Amino acid sequence: MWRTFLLAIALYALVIAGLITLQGRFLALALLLALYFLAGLLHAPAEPRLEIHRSLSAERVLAGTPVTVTLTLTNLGSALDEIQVEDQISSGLKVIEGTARRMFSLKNGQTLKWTYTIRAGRGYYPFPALRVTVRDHFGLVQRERTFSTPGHLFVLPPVLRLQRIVIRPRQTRVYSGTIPARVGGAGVEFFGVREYQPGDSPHRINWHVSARQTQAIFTNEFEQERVADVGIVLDGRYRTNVIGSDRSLFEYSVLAATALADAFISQGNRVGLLLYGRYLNWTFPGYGKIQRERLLQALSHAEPGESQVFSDLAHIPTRLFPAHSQIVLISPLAEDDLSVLISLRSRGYQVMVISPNPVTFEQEKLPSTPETALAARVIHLERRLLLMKLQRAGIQVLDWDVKQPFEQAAGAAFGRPPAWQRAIGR
Amino acid sequence: MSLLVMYLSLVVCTATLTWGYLESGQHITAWAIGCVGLLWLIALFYRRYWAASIGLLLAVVAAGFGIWLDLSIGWITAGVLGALVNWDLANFISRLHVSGSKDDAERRALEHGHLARLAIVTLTGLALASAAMLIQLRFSFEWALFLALTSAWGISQLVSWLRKGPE
Repeated sequence: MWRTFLLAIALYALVIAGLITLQGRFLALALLLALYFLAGLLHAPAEPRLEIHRSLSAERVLAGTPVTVTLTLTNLGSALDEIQVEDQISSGLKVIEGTARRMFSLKNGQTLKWTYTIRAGRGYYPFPALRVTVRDHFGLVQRERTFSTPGHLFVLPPVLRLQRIVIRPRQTRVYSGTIPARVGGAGVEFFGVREYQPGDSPHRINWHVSARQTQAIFTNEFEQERVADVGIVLDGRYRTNVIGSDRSLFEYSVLAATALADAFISQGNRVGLLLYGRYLNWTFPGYGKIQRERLLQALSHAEPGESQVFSDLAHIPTRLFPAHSQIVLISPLAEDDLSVLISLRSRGYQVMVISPNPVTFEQEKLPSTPETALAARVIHLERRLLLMKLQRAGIQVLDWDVKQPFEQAAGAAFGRPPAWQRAIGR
Repeated sequence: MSLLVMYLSLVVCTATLTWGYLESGQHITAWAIGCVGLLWLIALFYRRYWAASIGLLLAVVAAGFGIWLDLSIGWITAGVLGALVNWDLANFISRLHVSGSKDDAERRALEHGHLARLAIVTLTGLALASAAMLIQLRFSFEWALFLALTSAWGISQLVSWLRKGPE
């Protein structure tokens, strides 16, 4: 609109000058501008009437996978001399081929189709609308309209396949699974002996014990294996995750959370996810593939954040987790987290802590000087002390150096030992 | 193509106005116009397209001053025409840049269409201006006042209509 005003000012100035000086040459010059002004005005665009359709080659992809966006525009109104269309894409999306903004002319009834390709890191990317600007020939009159074309893209974190992660919560659910339930019954692992009852298989009779007891016959009992409740808590606190101004451990935490969620769901457990950062984001526990998808989508949204309330772990809502269930905390850990974790343990939760090591992560980028090495050593000792205190409280701890692949680190720490090691009791 | 015409129109604007002032012995003003033209050119070269708006206003001021000094109307009209074309094309090219359109055929079609329309409008304007200069009518003071008020009212109506947008 400023162009119109500028032209109007020039035009007014010439007309007024002509009238004041009574010189026709001013008016003759003004005619030149007036004609341009009127030409623009006469071809002022009407309200754009467009039918717009957007489609994505995939709405759910892994990080780094290219996605093709196809836009189809049909002009249902009068011809548009100059139309600029801009797809309002999120800042995290990178256009790698084509363009999300175009300018062209569109005749009445004409359809235009164009594609562009994007790529993005983990996240949730909405495609809310398309901004359309139509102008006259000379750009004097322009109209803007936003067409709502809702769409979204989930860029999921990569899912690492873990071997079986051994957990032993004190309480399990009724359905059969892979977690030893501390209850005798049908199973694989020996649990104990009890007096023979009619209906027991003769194969289960423990003849050695029965031979020593003349009054009764005894049968072997095995430990039942059931599914369990697992609550994954992903620490998204800014103060524990972000080091310096831009480097973050959070992506590693998300990677670990994704791998663990997938592993626990695959074992048939009931898994919930709590994102603890700027606010609490709770994904209600559930089983199966749909729950796996829910967890992946929640993890694709996850961002580190800062909050006065959630600056420490004291506000973890324990009521969300069933009593005596398994809690898995993924956090680089701060010193004041110790008391909270011990408190969780004392309430009967089986707690597992996966802690991406912030010391080695930060040290990697610092210059290698004696002072840095000494400082790293001191902080490392403090961290080891913290982790040892946790272990003494009966908490399973993995101090994960992020240079090591997570599947290796987790497999070594929480995997089921091979049969020969179990046989010799190691 | 548009880029070439844009630079050419700037050269025409600066050269004709400078020549017009030099012809009438206004050397300092002529040099000032030349310097402004050079700055304008540098600004456009570095894609500072807003400079064309300032250029247009300065060209109109220089043209008005020229008429007052009774300079040759031909040079003045050519100068204002050059400034108008430059202002239009600078804005058009900036819109093309903002749109980020990389399709050459589409871009060419837009440029051809725009240049054709601009040529028609400017040539018609030039013809009308020339005709207006040839046909000179004398008005009484009352008529001039009436025409002034009508023109002011008309332009105000146009601008307000433009701001509201045509139905």
